[in-house]
Amino acid sequence: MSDSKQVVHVDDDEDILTITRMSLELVGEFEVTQFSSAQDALDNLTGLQPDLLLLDVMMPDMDGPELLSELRKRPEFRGTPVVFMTAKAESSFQNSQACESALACITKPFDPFALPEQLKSLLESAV
Amino acid sequence: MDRAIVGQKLEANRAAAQRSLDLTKFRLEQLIESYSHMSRSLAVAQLFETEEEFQMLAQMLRDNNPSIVNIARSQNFIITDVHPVEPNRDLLGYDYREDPQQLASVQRALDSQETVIVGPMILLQGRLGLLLRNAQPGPDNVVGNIVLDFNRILTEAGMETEPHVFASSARIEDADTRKRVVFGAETIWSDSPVLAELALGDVRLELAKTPAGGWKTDTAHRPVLILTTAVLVLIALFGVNYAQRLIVERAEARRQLMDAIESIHDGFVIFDRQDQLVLCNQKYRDFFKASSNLIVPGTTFEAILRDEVEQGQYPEAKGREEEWITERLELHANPHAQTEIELADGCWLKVSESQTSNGSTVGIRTDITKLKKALQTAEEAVGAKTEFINNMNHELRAPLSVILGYVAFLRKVELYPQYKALRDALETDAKLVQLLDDFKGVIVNQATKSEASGKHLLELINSVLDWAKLSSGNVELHIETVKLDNLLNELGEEFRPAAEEKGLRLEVLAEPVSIKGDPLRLRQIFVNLLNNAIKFTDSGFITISAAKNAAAALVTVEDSGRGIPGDQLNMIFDRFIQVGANHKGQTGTGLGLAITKNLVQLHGGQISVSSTYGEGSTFQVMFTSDTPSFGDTRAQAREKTNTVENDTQAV
Repeated sequence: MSDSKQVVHVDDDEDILTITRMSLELVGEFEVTQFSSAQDALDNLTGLQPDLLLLDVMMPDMDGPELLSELRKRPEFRGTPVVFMTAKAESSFQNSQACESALACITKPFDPFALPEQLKSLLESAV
Repeated sequence: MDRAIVGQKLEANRAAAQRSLDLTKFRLEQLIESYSHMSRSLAVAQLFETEEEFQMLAQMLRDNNPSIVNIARSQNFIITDVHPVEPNRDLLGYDYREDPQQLASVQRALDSQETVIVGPMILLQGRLGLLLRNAQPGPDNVVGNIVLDFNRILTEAGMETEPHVFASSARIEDADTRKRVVFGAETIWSDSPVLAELALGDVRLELAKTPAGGWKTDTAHRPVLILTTAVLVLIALFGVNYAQRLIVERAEARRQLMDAIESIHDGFVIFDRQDQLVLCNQKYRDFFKASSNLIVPGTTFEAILRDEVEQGQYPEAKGREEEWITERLELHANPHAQTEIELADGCWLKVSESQTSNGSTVGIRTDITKLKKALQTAEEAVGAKTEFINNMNHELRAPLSVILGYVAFLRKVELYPQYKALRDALETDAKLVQLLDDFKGVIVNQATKSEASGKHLLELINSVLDWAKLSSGNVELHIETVKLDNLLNELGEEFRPAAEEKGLRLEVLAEPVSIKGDPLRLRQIFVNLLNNAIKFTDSGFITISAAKNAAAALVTVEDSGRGIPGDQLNMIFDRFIQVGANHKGQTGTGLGLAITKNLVQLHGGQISVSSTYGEGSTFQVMFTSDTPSFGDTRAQAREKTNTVENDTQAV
């Protein structure tokens, strides 16, 4: 397989899942695995070792920060870099502890043509 | 000397002596009437409900009337108050019913409601005293007593006035018809004195005067006598009138004061320097009905407070009673305390307390329930509005993310694998390829327009929501050190493509400047200014610069755009004002600069504009510091503090 980075993306919005997949696969050169809920991700992430977790903040069953803290309990995700995506332009989240612990908090709407480059440089800076 | 003349002179002398004596008698009657009035006042219970009030009034009466030996008040036959206290302490609690004579006179005062005069009698001090007693029948059967120094009263009435002119004496005849001289020389009575008498209760008082040197016929003293008499009459009339007026005025003033306190719509209370309740009005009692049995003069503030807490009067105290009481007592000890307290019945009170110069505490309790409820409603409304704004923020942005996401790909339709497959399939047929490319052109064109509209819609949503948050005071700044030069250089890179697309030269000339501020909000300020500059400049340049001096950090955004007409300059920071609104193709909410100004002010800064119409505009944002000690050392020391501050300090 190629050197492309693996991204696990979790979002409850099917359209955002589609746009993000197109962005990361068609524009960027990422390999994307997607889940439409936090629970779906927790149940099926076993065996994956992604380079990046891309998590929506507001989801109905469990929000992004909660999902992250669950994933952090698993040894294989303890150090995986994370980027949050939120439709809330609220600076309160941008200044939250969860956001502080992430590489970045990307605000929706995002530019699908700029996202791959953005993630790539975030991953480079995290190394 | 002719006997007839001698007789006439003698008669004239007697007449002068008689007039002087009549005047003395008149003054004595007036004085007794005046003291009776005082005694009657003492019996009117509602005039002074507390021991302190009684002492205050009694002291005032004694200070102004030296003839008063002591003052006492009884309720239901038992002496409850005396003044002065110390020499008469044994009298407190004395029951008149132990002495049939005392009981009889008290009962007489109660039955007749007239002044009962007892005495003259020998007082403990050996002086002769006269007791005036008045009663107010009722549930408490209040009796007021004033004991007068009898000799002093006689002197006050004029018995010793001009001793070189007249010699005076007084004697009493009691029920046993024994006559006893109580004032002056006994010899006067055997020198044919002029006489006057008056009744003092059961006792008959006789007054006598003779000329100081006996009944001489010499008329030399007559003019002196007449003059003296006239002066005495005037002094006496003035004195009696003044005393009466003083008493009436004081009683009236006190009544007015009590009426005024009662008519206050707020609760009013006074505690003395020992923190014991002196008086309060009915409104105060109404607020604390559960502890009404303790709201009586003499109870300490702490005792009342503890009872109120025990009765559950203060919801705020529940579960931390002792701590709450301590806090409340500390506040009470503060000379100018103000607080708001909720009562168990939902009533809110504003408590204002202040100390007087003599150490008493005056308290006002104002019912602010309506105000509190209005405030609560307003806060709930603001909360609901904030929640609505936050929800709308999310709900509007989420679908826009989808629209803008898909539209972005429609603009690059060639990226779709399906498109690629179709084009590959048609590759052999040039005509079909042409048709497909034409179709792609239409899609890209329309997607571009849709994207522009979508972005514009996003901008509007952001502006409206931002303005809503700013106008309701819901914006919190997350303060940290921001390097303005870095921020402006980043923005320069970000905006340069858009500027160059319009053929504009965009330059950043920023010297190292750091300020304290919210990085996201500062970015928003300069993004707004740059957007405007690009939007309204058709040719030439845009320059962003940052500089600092000892007192301020200055960011300037200058453009060679169309400028702002002079008549619009002073209103461009107002909301809903659209710069260049008449120009085609420029749209917006007119909130951009209003938001910018608000954000600058939130950072404690100022924004200003200068412009020449047709030549360009210059916006200046200045962040000042109260302490003009700018320097990177302080910036580093403050870095990463996450406190929220309302003003930005340039460092």
